[in-house]
Amino acid sequence: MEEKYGLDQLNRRVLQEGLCAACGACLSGCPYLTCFRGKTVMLDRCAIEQGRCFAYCPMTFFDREAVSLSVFGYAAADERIGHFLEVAASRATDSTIAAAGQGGGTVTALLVSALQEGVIDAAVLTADRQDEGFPGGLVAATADEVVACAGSKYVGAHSLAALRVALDRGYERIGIVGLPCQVRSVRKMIMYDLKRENLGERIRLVVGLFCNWAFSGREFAAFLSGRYQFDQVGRIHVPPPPAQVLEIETDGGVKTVPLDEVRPLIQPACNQCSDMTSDFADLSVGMYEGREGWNTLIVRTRVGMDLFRKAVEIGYLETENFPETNLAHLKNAAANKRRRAAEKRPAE
Amino acid sequence: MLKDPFNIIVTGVGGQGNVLASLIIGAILVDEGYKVTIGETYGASQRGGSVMSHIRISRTRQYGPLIPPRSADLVVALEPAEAARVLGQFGNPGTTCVVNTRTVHPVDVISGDLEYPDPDRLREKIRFLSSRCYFVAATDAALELGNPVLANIVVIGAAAGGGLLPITQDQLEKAISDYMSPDKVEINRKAFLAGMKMVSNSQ
Amino acid sequence: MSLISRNSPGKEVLLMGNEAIARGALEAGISVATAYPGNPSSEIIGSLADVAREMGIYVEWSVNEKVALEVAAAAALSELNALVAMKQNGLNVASDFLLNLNLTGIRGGLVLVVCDDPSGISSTNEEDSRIYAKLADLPLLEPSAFHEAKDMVKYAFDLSRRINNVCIVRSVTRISHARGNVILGPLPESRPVPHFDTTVTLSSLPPSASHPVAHRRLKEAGDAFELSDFNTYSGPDFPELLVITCGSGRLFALEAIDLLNLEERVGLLSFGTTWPLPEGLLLRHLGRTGKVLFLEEVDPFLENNVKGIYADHCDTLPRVAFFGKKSGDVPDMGELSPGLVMGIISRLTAAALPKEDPRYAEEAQDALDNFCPPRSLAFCPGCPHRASFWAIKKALALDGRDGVLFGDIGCYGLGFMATGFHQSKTLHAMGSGVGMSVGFGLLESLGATQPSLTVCGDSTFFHAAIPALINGLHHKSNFLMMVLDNSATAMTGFQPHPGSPVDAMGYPAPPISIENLCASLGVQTVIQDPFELEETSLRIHDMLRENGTKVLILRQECALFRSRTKPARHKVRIIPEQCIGEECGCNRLCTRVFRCPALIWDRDRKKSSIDEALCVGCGVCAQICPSRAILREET
Repeated sequence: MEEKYGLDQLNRRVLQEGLCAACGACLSGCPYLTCFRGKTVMLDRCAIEQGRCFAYCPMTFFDREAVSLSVFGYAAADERIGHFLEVAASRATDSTIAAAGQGGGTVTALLVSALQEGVIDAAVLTADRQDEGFPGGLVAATADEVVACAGSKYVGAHSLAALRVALDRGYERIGIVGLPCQVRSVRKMIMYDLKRENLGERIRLVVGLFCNWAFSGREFAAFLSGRYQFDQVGRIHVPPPPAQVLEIETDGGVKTVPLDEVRPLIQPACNQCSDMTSDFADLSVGMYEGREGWNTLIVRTRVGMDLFRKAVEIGYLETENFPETNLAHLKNAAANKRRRAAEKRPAE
Repeated sequence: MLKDPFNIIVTGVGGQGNVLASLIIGAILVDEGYKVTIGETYGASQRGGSVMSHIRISRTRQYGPLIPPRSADLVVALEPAEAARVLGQFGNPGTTCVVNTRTVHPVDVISGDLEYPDPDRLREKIRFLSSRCYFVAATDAALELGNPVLANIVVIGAAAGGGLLPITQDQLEKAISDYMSPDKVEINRKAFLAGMKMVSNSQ
Repeated sequence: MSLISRNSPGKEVLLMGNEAIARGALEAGISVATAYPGNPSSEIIGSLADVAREMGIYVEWSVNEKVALEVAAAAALSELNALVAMKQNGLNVASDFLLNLNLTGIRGGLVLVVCDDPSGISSTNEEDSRIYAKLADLPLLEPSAFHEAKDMVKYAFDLSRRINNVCIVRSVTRISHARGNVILGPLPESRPVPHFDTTVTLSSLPPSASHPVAHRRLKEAGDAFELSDFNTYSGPDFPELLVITCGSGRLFALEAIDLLNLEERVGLLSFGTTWPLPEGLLLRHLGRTGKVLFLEEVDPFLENNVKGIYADHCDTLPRVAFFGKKSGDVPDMGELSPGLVMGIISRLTAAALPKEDPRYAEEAQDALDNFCPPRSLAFCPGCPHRASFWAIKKALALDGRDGVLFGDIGCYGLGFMATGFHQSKTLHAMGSGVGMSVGFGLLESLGATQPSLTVCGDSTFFHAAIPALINGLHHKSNFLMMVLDNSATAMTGFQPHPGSPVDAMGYPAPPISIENLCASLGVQTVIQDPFELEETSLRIHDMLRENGTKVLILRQECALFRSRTKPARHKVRIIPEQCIGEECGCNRLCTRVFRCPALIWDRDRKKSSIDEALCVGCGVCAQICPSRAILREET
């Protein structure tokens, strides 16, 4: 089900339709596309008939079966939270990491472990204030650099543009943390690898985040600077239901904004996305609803399992059982997202 | 003895010194008592376009500034594709020509949009469309003399050397002195002689 | 060492039509010559400027043609002879003043030379300016060859002094830019001292008084034209076909008649004085033929005038069949050519065209179809406009609101083509880009959401943009004016303008600062080097986001101008191993999109390379290569 097209079609089907998820995959090594103040912009026409931009974009086409086969070794996958080996509760043991991270700092702890153990030599992460104050991709090669990127950004941040930086710098064991759209894009990159850049070898680890939606970078920035001192805005947090609010750390304390007020700022692409738990990552991490300071961790692949066990073994991560009721609740939430997306985009 | 009128077309790409070449030829012949008309198309041609100068030479009349179709007697081309373009419109089986072999690619060719004709086939085409034809590496000779623009005078020298154009070295020197400046005479003389030599060598 | 100032009466030289016109003006003893550069007229004042000091005359590149005419008129009102030259569009600009000056008349002599551009080879329009002579009740002369051009201008000054009014001489590209034999005449020994007679007021008011005076003066010219040697006839007394022509048509017709062997059958009546038309002469010839063909460029001006006279006298004249533009036998636009003229005359006389060798014709057509790729116009290597339009392209993409760029005239007029990345969306007259940009920027109150922007050259700025800028500022229009300041009036040949430190004659002149002018108007003005691509595109983007009237001066020297005196800025080369060419991630960005003539796509090696003969080392391409394969080193 692979479609072979180039920038013209990407522009027509995704950019002009307003369906860009701002994952950043198309920006890698292309002079015709750029990210400007939180938005993907096409600068000129490229006449190539089959380009990486179209192939790697999560919004053009997605051959679920083929990706499943490639990642998990077989085609079937759970309709709700995807294929998995284990679901656990987890948190970083180091209190600094835990405080820096969202929930329990699990992603940070996993990456720090991976770096230390040589599973990866660099990580493509998302950091605040990269592109004129907007969040963006960043290549981290040390524990400190990883910790500095901790915390959810809730914004489409074009993080995958930084993958090109990591590749150019010669890193051979790259880890990537991304939203479900970014995870899918990376899987397509590895599968198709149109320019034979040995991406399957060089990308060693994919950590996905749970995600229901992300704001448009530009619109959210406009919203924030309309209300607060923009450069004093800190962490963003979405407490679990029934609270329907957004919590924003500002220099004047934590502000609460009703979700309904910021819903218009959500990327239209997110309304079509059916993937809540990053179904195709090696490991997927999200909040543990009802338990502050902890994360839900889904282990999906061998690679993911090896890292999970290693992180626990070397003492960076602590883990507990994940109760059945919570798992059922998670599956429902994921199913809801899938259902909402199906209403918007039936063919998937 | 020149046919009356004798029609010469000097052609090339904007910036190659086409206008000066035709002016020099015309000036020399006016001094020799001919009525000369030179018709040019320029203006925006500096910016990479084709340039054509039509030179009409007569003992008796001032002719119009454009040569009728199929009536060129001699084509002096500073670029091969331009030679083909001119011969296509104004050539006839008796037309003679001297062609600088250095290609200047149109912007649409170097941008990869169009193709430049195969040089051998182009040469063949030019040969077919003329009765006698000399190909000279005029830009190379000009570069040896220090300035690629001198190719225009080299080609004039070749035409003279081949007996296609009744111009002598002395006449050239006087025209350069009158229409350019005396300090340009020496280098242009060398260019002229280099052209003459190229043709007598290839005979 | 200029031919046109040479004091060798009787010497036969090769002169350009424009040079012959200049020489005619010198022989007529002009004291003042003015113009604004415009093809195909530029060489007239250009060649006079070169000899101004030597000849002791005043020559000026005026800020526009209206002012040029006003400056020349002041001289003509002060007993001097003055020449003003312009292209067709220039006459449009000067017309308001001309249509007042014609009613007051002059005291010295004033010849207005207008050079039309049939087929619009170097123009944005095609126009037949002869209509102005009719409109303004001024005598009109059209030279058909080079020596005649000189004599005609000289005569025109004489006539102008006699009738105390402006005389118009109309040339076309094929006369102005062509060269031919001219015999030099004597140059005057002295010129009058300027003096304005203040005992008389020069006003056209009331028109009921001045208009009849203009008519009377015109009639005086018409009487003189009846006897003029500029009108010639050759051919049989009673021609089967009478070709009536003027200007460039004469030499084409002569040659056609010759090539078709029709000297015994076809007569050629050529008018050098085309308004007023010598009726007596015309009627004599109309009475001796049954068939008339009109040959002229561009509009049926002569044709309609002749038909008008024929209609007045049709009672006493035999039936005549008229062929020309109205009948469809001659195209109603475009220039004449020998082939076209031969074809028309051959059809009307059934005379056979010269035979063509069919095999040769086939090979020749093949050559035209397959062996000579077209040469599109492009900005020169190193041209700052390429960088400016690249930055504009990026800025508009980043802005995302579908901004509209209004174009204007100059080298940057090519901005609507591939060389300017198709950025300009309009192209009309001098300064019209700003005017329209101002207008578009006022549509916000009516719901427009697209940003308004315009490009304007430094010379165009002084010529026409200032009133529009003031209009925009005062009416609070939201637009961005980018002045592409390359320090030259480049398209027409690098003539100085008010921003230059020298004048036409080479004397130092105080340069007028564009930014100071704008600042004094209270406009937000920023200066930026377009060669800094990233900075420039961001600057344009950010200015588009601001409200109100904004001026951005993109200042960088014209590459051709610069190359005369300065060495290359950088040595630029391509690392072939780094070049990814047609692959994903490049798709030949430098050759396919950027399109500098010095960047060559090598089809065989599949790499870009640099033509050292053409590269001027601006280094801009090094900034756009996505693989960093283009290196630039400071020289």
